[in-house]
Amino acid sequence: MASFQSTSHVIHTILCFSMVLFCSNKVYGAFDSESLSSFQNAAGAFPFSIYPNSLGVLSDPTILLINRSPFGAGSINRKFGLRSLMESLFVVGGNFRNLGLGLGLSRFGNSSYQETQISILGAKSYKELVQLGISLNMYQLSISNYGQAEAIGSKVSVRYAMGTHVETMMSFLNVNRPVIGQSNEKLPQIISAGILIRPNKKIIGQASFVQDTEFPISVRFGMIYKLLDQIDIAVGKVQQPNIFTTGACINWKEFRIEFSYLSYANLGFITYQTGISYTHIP
Amino acid sequence: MRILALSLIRLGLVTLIFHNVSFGQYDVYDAFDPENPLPESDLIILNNAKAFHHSLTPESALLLSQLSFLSHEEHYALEQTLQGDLHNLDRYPRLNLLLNELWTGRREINIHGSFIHRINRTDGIQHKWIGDFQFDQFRIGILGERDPGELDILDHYSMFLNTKFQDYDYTIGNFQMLVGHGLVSWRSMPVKSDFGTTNSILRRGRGIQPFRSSHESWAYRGLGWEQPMGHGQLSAGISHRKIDGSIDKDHVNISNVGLHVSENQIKNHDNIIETIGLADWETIIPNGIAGFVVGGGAWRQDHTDRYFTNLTSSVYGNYTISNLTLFSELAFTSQNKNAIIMGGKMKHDSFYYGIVFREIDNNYFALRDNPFRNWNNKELGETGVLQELRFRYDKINVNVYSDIFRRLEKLKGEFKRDGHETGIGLDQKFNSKLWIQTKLKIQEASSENYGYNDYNISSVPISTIKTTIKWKHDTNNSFQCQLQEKHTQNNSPSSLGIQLRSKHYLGLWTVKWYWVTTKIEGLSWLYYWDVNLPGEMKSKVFTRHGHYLGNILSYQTSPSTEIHFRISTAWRAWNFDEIPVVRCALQINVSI
Repeated sequence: MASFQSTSHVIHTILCFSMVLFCSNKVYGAFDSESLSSFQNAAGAFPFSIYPNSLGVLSDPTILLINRSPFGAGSINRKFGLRSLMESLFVVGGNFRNLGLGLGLSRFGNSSYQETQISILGAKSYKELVQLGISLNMYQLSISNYGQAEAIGSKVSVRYAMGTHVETMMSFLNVNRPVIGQSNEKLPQIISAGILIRPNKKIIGQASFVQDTEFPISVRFGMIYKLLDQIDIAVGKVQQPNIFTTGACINWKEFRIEFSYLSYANLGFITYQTGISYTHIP
Repeated sequence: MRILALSLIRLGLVTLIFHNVSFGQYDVYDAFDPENPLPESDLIILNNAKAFHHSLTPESALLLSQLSFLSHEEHYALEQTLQGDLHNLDRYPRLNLLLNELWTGRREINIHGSFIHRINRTDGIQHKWIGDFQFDQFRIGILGERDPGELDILDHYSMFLNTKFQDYDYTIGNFQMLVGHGLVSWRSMPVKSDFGTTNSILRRGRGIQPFRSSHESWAYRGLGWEQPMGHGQLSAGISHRKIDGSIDKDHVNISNVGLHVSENQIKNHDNIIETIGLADWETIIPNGIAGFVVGGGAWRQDHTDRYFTNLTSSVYGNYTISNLTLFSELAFTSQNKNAIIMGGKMKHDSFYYGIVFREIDNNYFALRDNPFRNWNNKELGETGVLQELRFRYDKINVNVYSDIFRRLEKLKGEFKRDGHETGIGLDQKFNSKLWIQTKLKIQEASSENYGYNDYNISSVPISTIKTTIKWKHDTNNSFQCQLQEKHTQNNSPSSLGIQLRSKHYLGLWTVKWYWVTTKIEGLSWLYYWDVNLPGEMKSKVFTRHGHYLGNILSYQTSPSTEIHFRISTAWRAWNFDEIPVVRCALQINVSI
């Protein structure tokens, strides 16, 4: 039985690495995996931050400007529900003299294949309407028996308040066209755009687009409902790949605990993700 | 003659009825022929004028004076406004209409920048970003574009910084230089034969301007400046950049495509290194203006040993005596190619007559020449005469134009190498809201394709008749119907099209509906303006029987921000028995 599980597990892992995961004619490459917080994933893999003081800073540093206190956040999960595909995310940051600053770390892979990304994050606002976020990313790729390679990438994010109920965002990942390794493998270049709608204090809706220049566009929708003062629930849908998402978030004193559940409809995989963040309140 | 008589009978039966209300994004654009594309920079200028300004001021007049479609008189009126000599544009109905469209409704004050992000789904996803920002005396513009299938996020980008220092005006980055009447350096879009064209040709270029279009190879990249010099004004620019194209024996072909998806396209991306220097000196003479242009360029193509240099110069001027204005530009190049454009106009009350003569050598190439011509093909040269007549008979305004043109070189196997285009327009204004207009256009030209058969097919005259009915139900609901008939004058059946449009204001929401049904015969394809987001001006060509449904939904989130969504569905079969082609776009307009 144990042998069967191991074999099945290896097959799934090979499928993820070597086959077409979500697209019929493309293969994901290094650093194509998105680093999103549990609650971003729960709300339809929204590529921008929903709440301040959370792991969302990693994908959208503009939210650093809304943070009022130093904070730290972390998350560990198994990608696609596979034990050997661990993803761990950590970030610390805060707002200092109206300048958002942060430091992030993400790791993904297993003992044979490891992607590590260290991010230096900064954000600045203009006229309280526009928040500009910049992330300087250092990528490191390690493959056992092959060695390791590094590259420097970037991310530019812009968030704009389009009134009291609507925010719009966009971001560009790796505009500087980084490549990695001796084969000069192109790192992903991604254009993201999103709209966050807050019709009232209890409901948040999102619609977003994620365009990796080598893949079809991914359209995403999600909704968050404030069930209680301390509890939010979320549900979402991702098209390309086909994912149904749901989850919840609990605020307890200085802590926020997030859960998400992602069901990959075409692959039959299920991913659970848990995250925690701590905000230092003086 | 019989054909012309028949056409006139048809013309008499066709009426065009519309109110003076806005249906498209800008009503002035609805009057242009969808077969002739318009410069994208015009739409960006209008968007900036709407975002940054609230009324006609010297600053907004300066911006609007860069529009390509303005007539000589309209341009002069804006120049007078710029100098503080004119505060009322009632004598210029088209400008008046445009200003009313630009600056009505809720306005946000103290705007320092505007930005547009458009996501457009066609055969793939196209992203476009357009921004314009004003910081004190500095103006900064950015434009980025990623076409479907391109691997780089910013496959094309363009930036400029414009500032004034004392009497000097500097533009760093991407700029264009409009000098004379287009024989040396002009916009990426030429002026084409149409109603009002003689007036547009008469307008000379204004020197250095920031480059706002998304044409990937047309802009100069470097430094451009303007300064007083002697008794005149000097405009000069130096540019060094890479462009897409190819070098032939005696000219450079600049690519107009801008798509980098296939292996060959990627290989030829930025394949020519170009260095250009250009200067224009202009001075005021009694009753007119005279100018002198001199420039040169060097081009080197990658992966080949092709190298090309060219020197060019031109003289131009205009002269006004009473109601008569004459103009001309004469250009020479070191490749021994010459070009001349000259003409005049006479205006007295409602009577107007304009005439333009041009002769452009085969393979004429200067630097960024794009003068008025009918054929896009430059290899065979062109000569021709365009005439336009406008007058008022009782309450009817009559507008007639005729362009007769001829290739300078003949193709092998070709019997005929000339063409003509004629347009007749009538309009009558009944009251402040309603008037009737009739338009007929007849075109005959040798084919742009060189095949013997193609030539025979396209040399038959083509007649196009359009009828538009516009109806404003109330201030919030408007409707429009346009009928179009096109046929070749060889007893072949007609292509017919009907377009229905409506626009509804629902508070902060705006909904636009759009429907087209076409019955196409042969190559008599029909052109309609497409369903366009603000800042777009695409036309759509219908080549088969079919139906087309479009819809735009807009939401104004605040006085200075809007979200627009467009979806269109095309059935290329009369009985809907085909999977429709669905297109959509999302656009976010913000101001800071």
